[in-house]
Amino acid sequence: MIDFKGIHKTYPGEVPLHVLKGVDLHIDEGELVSIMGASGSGKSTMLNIMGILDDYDEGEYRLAGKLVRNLDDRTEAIYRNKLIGFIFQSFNLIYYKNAMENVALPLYYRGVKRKERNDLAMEYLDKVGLAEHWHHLPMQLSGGQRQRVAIARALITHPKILLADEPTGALDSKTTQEVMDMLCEVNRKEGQTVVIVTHEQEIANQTDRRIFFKDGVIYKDER
Amino acid sequence: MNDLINEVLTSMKSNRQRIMLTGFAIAWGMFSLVVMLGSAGGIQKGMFKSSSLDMPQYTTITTGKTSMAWNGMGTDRLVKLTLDDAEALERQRFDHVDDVFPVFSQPALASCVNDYLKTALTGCAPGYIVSQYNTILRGRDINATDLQERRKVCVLSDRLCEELFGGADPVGWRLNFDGNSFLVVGECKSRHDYSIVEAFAPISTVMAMYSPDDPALGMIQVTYSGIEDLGELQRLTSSLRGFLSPRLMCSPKDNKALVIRNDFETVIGLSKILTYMGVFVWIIGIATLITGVVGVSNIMLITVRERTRELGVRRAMGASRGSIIRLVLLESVIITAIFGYIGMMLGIGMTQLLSAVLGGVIPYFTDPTVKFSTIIGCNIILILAGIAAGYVPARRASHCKIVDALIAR
Repeated sequence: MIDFKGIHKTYPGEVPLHVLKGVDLHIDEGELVSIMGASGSGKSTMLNIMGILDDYDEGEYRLAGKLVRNLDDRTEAIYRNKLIGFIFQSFNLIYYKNAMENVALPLYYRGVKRKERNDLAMEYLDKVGLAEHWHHLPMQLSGGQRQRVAIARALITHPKILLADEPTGALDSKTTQEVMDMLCEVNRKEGQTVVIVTHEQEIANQTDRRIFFKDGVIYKDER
Repeated sequence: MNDLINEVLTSMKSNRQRIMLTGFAIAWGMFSLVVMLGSAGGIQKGMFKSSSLDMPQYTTITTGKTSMAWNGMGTDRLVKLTLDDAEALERQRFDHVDDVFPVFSQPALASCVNDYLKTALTGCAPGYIVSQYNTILRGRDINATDLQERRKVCVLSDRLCEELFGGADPVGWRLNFDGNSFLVVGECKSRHDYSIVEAFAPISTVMAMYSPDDPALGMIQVTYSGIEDLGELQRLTSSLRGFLSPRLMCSPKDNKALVIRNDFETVIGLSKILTYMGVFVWIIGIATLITGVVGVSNIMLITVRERTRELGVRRAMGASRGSIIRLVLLESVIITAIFGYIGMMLGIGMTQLLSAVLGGVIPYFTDPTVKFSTIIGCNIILILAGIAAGYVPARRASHCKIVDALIAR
């Protein structure tokens, strides 16, 4: 599903920062993977490249068999919309849209009609237990509820991969477990590939595979 | 498209205060443009109307020597107008032409019992005196019988009466012109502020006195009505020239052989001033609008900056650069169009109010309303302004890196 071969990434600047130094990684379809590492180890950069949110300098990245390299903006947008679902630490919900509209957003960019996408959004809100909060704005929801809205938004397009960047970083322990249960369930029931970037060992322990980053390279990959 | 508009409106609803402030700048710009255009148009119309009323509504036709060869005939030929030409013009019945007056004017020494004075004796037909913006103060105008019977009767200008009769009623008195005794049948007064020393008599009488063997007239005067603009006046002039040139055996392009004067210089000069004024008003109006557009552009830049993270999220969810550009541009166009339209309607309302309150009260200010074509032009300007205001912010928004956008504060 995800295939990295010799991926390099350097951030330019007065002192260029070589973040990824020839990463080789293969993640199969349906895996539940966590990526761990200290700050600046390159784990988030890795996730961004996986999600086609950032580009890489050298190497080869294949996503679902497709080479992700020098794609035009439109194709990138289509890949992001159809293949990938994102969950962010800070939820990244649009503040003036209610829960239902936030969940429905990816379908808008897929050209789904409003009624259809709202119905589907309600269905996914129901799955995450927030159907009755559909009309609430993000600021009217708790942190856990916001993240559940974000998960519903990530799932609504049936993406092949779910990329979660510190999804529980802003949550308390009880809510953290709820979110993790949800992600594990998605992986188990839907067979979706889930990649979680985290620095919490407890989170990582709940995944089937743990990849450890250090100084821009993978130094441990355990199952 | 409905979805896109809905997206934009939802975003706009969340930023009402910003939108209102931005919109006010555009509405004010468009309001100013419409009111200024309307007012300038009102002044233009008022000045044209006033100038049409104040200036003689006639064309004078005189002749001179040919300056161009025509039909095998050389230059320097003296071209002469005759009564036949005047009658032919009359028969032709040109559009807008009311009357054709043959005129023969001669300097003469006018004398009565008490005094004498050098004056102009103008031989003319009935109606000519009135056509010269005179009113008959006492007595009567020259009539057809005077003309037919070559009567020695005359109508004096009020100034001539003042000079020779000391303001007393001159009707019934006799006056000599170069030794020929004329009966004064009337006194006229110019409607202009000025008056000249002048006397009028039947053209048949005056020509018989001063030019018995030469049928050449001094000039032909053509009065017209219903002409609203310079184009129509120029068309009439061309028609007259086209008709008379072959009769007078001169080239229609020979402006020295056949001189047709409409006080064009004054009218054209005035027209040019009014045109420049119109252009100036457009420049001022557009400049005001540009100020509004720059305001919108600035606010859109701030908006894009504020919404960087949102736009990043949208791109992560599958929005292409194009769709982000469309989103920002459409918001800009909608803000500009809605508030511009409000400004335009208020501006039109204001011009209507000005028209109702000030029309006919202030001199040189008539119907200060804007034309439909101007409204269409303003609408096009609005859309272009919206696109112009949104373009830079939209480009900036679309070129922001997604990873940077997602961590923007």
